[in-house]
Amino acid sequence: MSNKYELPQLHIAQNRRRAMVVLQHSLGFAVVAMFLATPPERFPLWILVVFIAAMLGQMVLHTTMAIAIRNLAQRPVDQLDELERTWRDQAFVMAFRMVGWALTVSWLYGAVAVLMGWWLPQAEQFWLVLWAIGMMVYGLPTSIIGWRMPDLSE
Amino acid sequence: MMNTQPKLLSREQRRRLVLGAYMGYVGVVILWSISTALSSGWFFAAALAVGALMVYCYTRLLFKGGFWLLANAPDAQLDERQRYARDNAYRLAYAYASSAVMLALLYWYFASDIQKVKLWLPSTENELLATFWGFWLLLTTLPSAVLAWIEPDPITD
Repeated sequence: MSNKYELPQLHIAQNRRRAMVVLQHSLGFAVVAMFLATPPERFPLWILVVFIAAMLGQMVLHTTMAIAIRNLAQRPVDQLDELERTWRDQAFVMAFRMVGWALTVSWLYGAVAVLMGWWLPQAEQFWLVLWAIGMMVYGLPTSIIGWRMPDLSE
Repeated sequence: MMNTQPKLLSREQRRRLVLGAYMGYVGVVILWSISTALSSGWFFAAALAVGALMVYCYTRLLFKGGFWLLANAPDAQLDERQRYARDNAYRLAYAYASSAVMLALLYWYFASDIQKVKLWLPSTENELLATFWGFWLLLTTLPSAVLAWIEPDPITD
């Protein structure tokens, strides 16, 4: 393993990493669904508090995962050994395909929704949608590496 | 191992084909829109000509150049160097595509929110279809195009 890039050592077993991935993305989906389902004019304060707590929770889970997998998704390529590079690059291949499918389905829905007058997020809900998509796109390679990387013996 | 025959094309040729393919699509959409708005046969013919050029670029780059196969082949059909090049192209394509999506969403927000400046948003059936196919084309071909763009020139004897 390369020693040029020092990170705090944090060992998390694979099954726990998988639970963290499920929790991180479930938090995102649940809060976005709750937020979008609430009309803006009847927006209670407690939802805002829950939303901010969930955003912070997502960020903590993502950062913990990044440390546990030694930040493989973001480290420069010359600081990775062959195995780490394989995990990292395969995660990006999977992430590209997953995001590609998700965006294609979303776009199809959006196009049909424009033509048929179905539900679409309103302007005041835009930043939430941007946050959700940004968090998913930014965090997905790290989540995939965390999900797939076997337990390290060291 | 898979014979992708990328040696047939130099890097400069590949980059021209990538630009021709993507710019060709934009050109077809613009010329088609003008021909529909003006009911002009000339613009329709120009759209068809640019469309044919775009198809030529895609076909030559992706199929004759072997980059479609290289980007989409199962791991077992690639050697170590091909697999590394393929995976690296996906990593770059992911960064470009995700940035493009975030910028497109920001544009959509500002275009629908700012009333003073009339920014374009797809609204008719044709515009939505054109945007969808452009988006779909980008997602399905971007890793192959990145691979074609970054692969070094073939070594000549």
